Amino acid sequence: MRYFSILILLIMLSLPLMMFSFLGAVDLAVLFVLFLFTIFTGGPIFFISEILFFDKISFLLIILSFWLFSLMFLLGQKYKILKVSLMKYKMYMYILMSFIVFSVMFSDLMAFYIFFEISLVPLVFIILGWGYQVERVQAFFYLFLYTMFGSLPLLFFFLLTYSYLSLDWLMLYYLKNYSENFVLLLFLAMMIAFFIKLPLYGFHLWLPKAHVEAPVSGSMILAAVLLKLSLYGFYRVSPLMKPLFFFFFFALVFLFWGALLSSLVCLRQTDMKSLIAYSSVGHMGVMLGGFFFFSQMGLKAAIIIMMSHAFCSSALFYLVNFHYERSYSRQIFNNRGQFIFFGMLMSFWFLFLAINFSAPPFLSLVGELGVFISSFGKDLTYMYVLGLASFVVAAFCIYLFSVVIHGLGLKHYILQVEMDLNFFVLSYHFLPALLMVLLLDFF
Amino acid sequence: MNKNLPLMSMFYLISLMGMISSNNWFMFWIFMEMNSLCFIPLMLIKKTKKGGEASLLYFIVQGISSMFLLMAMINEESSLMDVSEPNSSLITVAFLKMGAGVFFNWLFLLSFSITLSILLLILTLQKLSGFFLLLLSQAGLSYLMLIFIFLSSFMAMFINMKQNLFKSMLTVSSLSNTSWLLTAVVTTYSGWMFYFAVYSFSLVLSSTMNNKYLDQNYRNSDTLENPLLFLSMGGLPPMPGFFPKILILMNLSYSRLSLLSIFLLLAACVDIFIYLRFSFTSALKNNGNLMYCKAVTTKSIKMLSLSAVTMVTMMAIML
Repeated sequence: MRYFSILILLIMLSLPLMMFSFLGAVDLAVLFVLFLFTIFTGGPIFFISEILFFDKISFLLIILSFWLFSLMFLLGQKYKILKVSLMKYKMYMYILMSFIVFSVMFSDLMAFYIFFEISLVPLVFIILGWGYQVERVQAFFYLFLYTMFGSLPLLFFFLLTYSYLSLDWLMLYYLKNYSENFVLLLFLAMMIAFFIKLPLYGFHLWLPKAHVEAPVSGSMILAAVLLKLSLYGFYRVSPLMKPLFFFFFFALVFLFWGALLSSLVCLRQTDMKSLIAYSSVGHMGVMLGGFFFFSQMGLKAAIIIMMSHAFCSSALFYLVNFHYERSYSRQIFNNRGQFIFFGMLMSFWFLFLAINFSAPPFLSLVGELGVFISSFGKDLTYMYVLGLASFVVAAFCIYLFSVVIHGLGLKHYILQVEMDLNFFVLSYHFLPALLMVLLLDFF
Repeated sequence: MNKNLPLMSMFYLISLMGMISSNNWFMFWIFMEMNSLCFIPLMLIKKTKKGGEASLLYFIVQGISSMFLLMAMINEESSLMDVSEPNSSLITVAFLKMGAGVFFNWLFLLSFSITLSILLLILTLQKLSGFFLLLLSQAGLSYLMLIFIFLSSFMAMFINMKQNLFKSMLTVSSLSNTSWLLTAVVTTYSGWMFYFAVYSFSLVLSSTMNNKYLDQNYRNSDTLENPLLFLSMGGLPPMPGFFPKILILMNLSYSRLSLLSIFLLLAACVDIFIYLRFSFTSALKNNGNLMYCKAVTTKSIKMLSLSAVTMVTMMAIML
């Protein structure tokens, strides 16, 4: 029954979206179908058919991807003007969206793996086709090879799991007679694959490159939905990991330390897009760290951070692109003093940076508090790293805000006004992030 | 058009059939000889600059391997009329014939001086004799076999890094595919058949498409099927090239050959890198004008629909 509140909220919000794009209507229809499902079948897990199902985390990911992709189709309108094929852009977006939605809805481990892998291909084509610079080829190789190198060994270990039992996610709870050695190897393979996808600090080199070279919609989707699939994978395979819970504390050290380091890297970035990419590395580290405590609170905190970071990082990438389209530079110093030109949009900068460093009324505060509480319950030494990390996050957010908004502006912008489209897209990132605080009992 | 071409190709096909269906080593040897003797005139149909040299090289290698096969037959005690226990010289003959592992160099040299269609024949049908030698001798996963599997994929990885010609890239990547095929031929027969069929099909498809462009490193800018085909050849999950691989891997995982399969998978990762390096230009949309390109739109649309249909069918089978 708790699904009602969030669905009703989103349906009401997506009514005006329907007027703007066709996918808005599709979005509304999907939300309505999910709504009907939650009415007619009770319980925490909803089976759509024998192989398709959704529960809380996949429900959130489905809604998230529909929500963001319907905004992506709005953004695609500018390719009409730029003489780059709009039709192909739409095709890739549809393909990518269906792959992501399928990958979280299949109850089969192998199907998840396949869609998880293949969701890389349309993303890669979006980066190659609609990217800005020649360096996108290098970014493409980084993205592709990092991910493939991690996830091909994982394929073999999923096949090994298959030789023990069926590959249904839900059957993993009943897997009994496996050896600890096997679980250790599966665990290591999953660690590498999903840590590269996450990305953990140390495996993260592809992410800033991909974000810098991707067109705005590509990097929005990458930050908002694709990075979250690793949390989904860990969540589904966690029943297998029961004998190895102690091992996760080693991973925790890397995750939290990586969050601190990537936030420190943010402080000395001059490229706005890669700054936000690094900040999302840090947030992802905290998110997965919260999950790795394997407590109720940690899990809920991870899901909450997942939702809040999806909306906030995607909106921040949109804002950076807004400035890029006017100054043709992502450098922070070529975009300073923007308050004179774009006064209204600056309020959105403020709000999304506030969400980014988890200021009080927003969802991200709840998530980070949850991670803090569950970590202090285990060991108080996490306090130093996490406290310092959240301080540094706040520091670079204030630094970014002060440079972009304040100071003397350069005067060589293309004078495009703030359009309705920008406000529309940004408020459709902001409203869910704000209103979900009212529905905290859902998570 | 050579007058002898129909006769030659008929004898060529007969020799392949005979090789597949022979039940003793002597008949196998005869059909193998017939095969190489029919193939050499086929190589010479279209005159190229170094065609004679290439056919001589091919003849020498095939002659040496058939001599070795004859010696291996004589050496064995129960031998001549019987398919018996495999010995290492038989396996080595097979490796020499298909250019696996350390015997790769003659194939690589050959690839520069023959036409693309002959190269495709050598990379697909001419390898059948080696594989059927292994199948008939019922070779298991011995140390020699393992060494050659590892060597093939290692060498393919490192040689392929510095190739920038399309033909030589195909040749070297066929070496890494040979390591998969060798693994399959000694563990799972159906996996080998499936892999061989899909690999030959996609190889021919991709290279005939590629043949349309004058400069083989740059392609028409707005087509998708080239990267898709190459991804399929590299074995990215839902593409057709992935399913034979997963069939082989499942068999390997049943017999707990973890090290071999992880090694093969990581080599496949390098393969994908190589294939993508040759195909990413077709995914770049706003890349100025590529001068030496002819657009072949109608044909490529057909190809695209073909590969899409194959992909969808495969996914349907999987699910």
